[in-house]
Amino acid sequence: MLPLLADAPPHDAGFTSGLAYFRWLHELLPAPFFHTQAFLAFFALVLAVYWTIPRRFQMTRIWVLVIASFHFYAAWSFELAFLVTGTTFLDYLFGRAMGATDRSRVRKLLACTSVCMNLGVLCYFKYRGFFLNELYEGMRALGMDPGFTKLNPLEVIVPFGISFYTFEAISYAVDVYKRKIAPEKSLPRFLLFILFFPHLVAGPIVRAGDFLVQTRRPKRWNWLRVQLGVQLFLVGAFKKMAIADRMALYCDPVFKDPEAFGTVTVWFAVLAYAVRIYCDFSGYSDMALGAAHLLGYKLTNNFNMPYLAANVSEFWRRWHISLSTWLRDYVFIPLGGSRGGTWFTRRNLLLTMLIGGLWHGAAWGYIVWGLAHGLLLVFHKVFQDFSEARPRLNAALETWAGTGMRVLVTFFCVSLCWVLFQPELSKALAVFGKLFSIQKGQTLLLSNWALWATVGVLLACQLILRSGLWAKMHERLPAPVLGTGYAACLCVALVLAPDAGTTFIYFQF
Amino acid sequence: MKLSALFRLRPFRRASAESAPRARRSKRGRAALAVVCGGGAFALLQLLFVVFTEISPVLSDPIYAARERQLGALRAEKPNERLVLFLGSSRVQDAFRAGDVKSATAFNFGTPGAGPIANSLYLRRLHRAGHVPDVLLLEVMYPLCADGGLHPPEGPLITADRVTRAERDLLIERYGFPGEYYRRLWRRSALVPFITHGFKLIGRAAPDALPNNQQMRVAHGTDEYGWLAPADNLKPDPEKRDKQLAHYKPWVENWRAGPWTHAALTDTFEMCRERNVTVALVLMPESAAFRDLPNPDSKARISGYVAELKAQFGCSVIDARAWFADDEFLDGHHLMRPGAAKFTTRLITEGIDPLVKARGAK
Repeated sequence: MLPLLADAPPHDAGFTSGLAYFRWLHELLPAPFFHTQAFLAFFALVLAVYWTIPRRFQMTRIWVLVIASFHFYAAWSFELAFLVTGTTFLDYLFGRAMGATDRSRVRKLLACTSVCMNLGVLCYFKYRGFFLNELYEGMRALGMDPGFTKLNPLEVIVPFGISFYTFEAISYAVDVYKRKIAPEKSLPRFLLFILFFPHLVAGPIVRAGDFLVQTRRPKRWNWLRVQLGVQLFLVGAFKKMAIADRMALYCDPVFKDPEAFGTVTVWFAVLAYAVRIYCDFSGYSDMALGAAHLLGYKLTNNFNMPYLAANVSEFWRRWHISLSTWLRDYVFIPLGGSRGGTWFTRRNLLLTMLIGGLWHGAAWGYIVWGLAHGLLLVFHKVFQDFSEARPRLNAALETWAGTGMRVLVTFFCVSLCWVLFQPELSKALAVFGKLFSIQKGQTLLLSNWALWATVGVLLACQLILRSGLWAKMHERLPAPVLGTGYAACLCVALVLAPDAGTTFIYFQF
Repeated sequence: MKLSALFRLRPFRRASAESAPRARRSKRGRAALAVVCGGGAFALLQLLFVVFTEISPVLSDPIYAARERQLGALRAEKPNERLVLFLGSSRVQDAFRAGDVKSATAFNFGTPGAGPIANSLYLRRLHRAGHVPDVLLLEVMYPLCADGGLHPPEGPLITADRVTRAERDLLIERYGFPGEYYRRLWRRSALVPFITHGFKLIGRAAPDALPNNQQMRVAHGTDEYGWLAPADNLKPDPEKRDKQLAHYKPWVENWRAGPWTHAALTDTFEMCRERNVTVALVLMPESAAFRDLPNPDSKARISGYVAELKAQFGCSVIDARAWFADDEFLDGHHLMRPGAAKFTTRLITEGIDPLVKARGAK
């Protein structure tokens, strides 16, 4: 199968050996990316098989999805597919065991074991390299012999989406322990909750309470749902191929070698990176939601026009909603939330965002990014208290102009924070060095009008959505016009996709 | 239901309690129609695109199409003059100021990466479009005439998305293009034409959306006679020259004539003979470093091959390889603006005018 875009799978070392069946599978579906022809063919096959099974055989349908999801992951790495399935099975057993006993201590022990197992796997694969290397550097700096060699970060295999399904499994264990949900009795249903391929590798982070209940409802082919799924998938593909990959042409060369470029070019690259990261991740989420709808499942909406947020706090209610709500429910609130004093709340905010940063990646860049957002949230709280004590200032900030200004300031701060959102902190600091001191350097080979045009179109689309105009028009537009619009959207996305498509940024987390 | 009713804006309606199931059914029907129409429209658009690329090279081969359009316009302006066509690579494109030719209407049909196979293909297309020249100057881009082993050196340059189905078969059957691989690439470009030709579409519709070095300036930046004027401020660039030398060395160092390219040259001569076209072979100017790239045996083989072509097809040969000093070249084989003027003047005097004169008045 040929990819829609020339994606190379990030890791396929495992396919030099292993079972012939998985090697064959890997050739058919070389990378678990939604915007490839291979995935579309795979998805079409799954859809056809899934909907051919009569509705009364709901469990058969679930097994079909479980097997398809396993193959989706195994096509990239069969060893890790077995690992994910294995830990999921253990989580299922822990859940069942918690349900089988009323003894609080045993339940607590089981919940802790489940959480520790998931965190252990996460730490082993994702953070081992980072912490060992930092330890190595620290001991060397102190003149001590570490007794081990440094790990090459490129050689450390991080399973796709490990942070996503680990958080899902943890939330399940905690919810069962707290008796918010009943433990799932059916193994295939539980396997589907974790392995469901639309959300497996890059979220959204689903909650057992939301998802498992859906597995019990027999699915009926519904054209309204199909239309919604197709729409979401197309919008996602457009965001990814036509916008995010195109913006990569602006920001990738600059972020790779910031020293070579002039200050103005670096500012443009920062803007392009903000657009790119939003379209990349929300595009993926839209495709995931669309694919799930086509199979009759509803996943959590992950984005709600985050760049129109008027403050950082609101931004986090609109950006990666499934993660921010997870952090709120399983980190911020257990830490004490805002129930203590001012300083206590601020500490909790900082700690939560620090964990959020670390969740994104085992590198100082992500940690500092999380910390920066934590500081922004603390600053926002301070400013909120300050302005609430001044009614005139508050009224001015609530006006149309004041809101616009706040949106701009929030976007500016968030965009600057995105500079940190990369593994190498030194490169991020080099970008900052260029941003805040006027220096000459190369310019990009691209015209800036295309960047402005993209930003303008994106903003216009968001405003049309926010104003409710699209909802009204969508109801009134004749079906053939809508259909032609879908076709046109896909054609434009395909035309605008740069030749060398990039992988989804969030797949690495 | 009338067809026009499908496309009418639906009125805003507040559904009553009794009509709710009916409204739901209507909504479902509308959703189904939208999805089916979307799929159908996408398939239709793809099909139309494929058919269009089979009929016209405007989207599939924009550089050729732009040149053909210019040539057509020029011919319409001067229908009674003799036509001199110079087919060749970017060396020709940059060096030949066809507008300076006074004895006939001359057109520079130099295109980047064109060797004997591309030239043969282009001449076929031009003949089909009714553009039969009186005099054809044909560049012997000898690096691209080399024996490339199993396949010709032009294989990677004439990409499958640029050719029609018939041309694809010709390239495979006659010019040694890798059969199954090339067919697969062609099928892919036909299956998803919006991806394959997307880059070219943007290049036409919004070239500024592409990086400067990919904007296909060569398709649209030429003068009305097909000359792509080199920028005024260019200077010889040793770094570029070294890159070019390294690029061509594998083909040229131990040069031998390739069977596939010879077939293309034979076909070109055959087409010209059928239409009574006078042909002259041109070896374009090169810097000393380029001229010395082939080893002594290869140099002899190149000269021998050109002499053989001359004897076999009875054409004249203009060997301009040593016409200029090294500082006239940007990268060792592309002339800069002053060099282009000098080259054209000398070519007119020594090649074009005598050939046109020999053909007599039209």
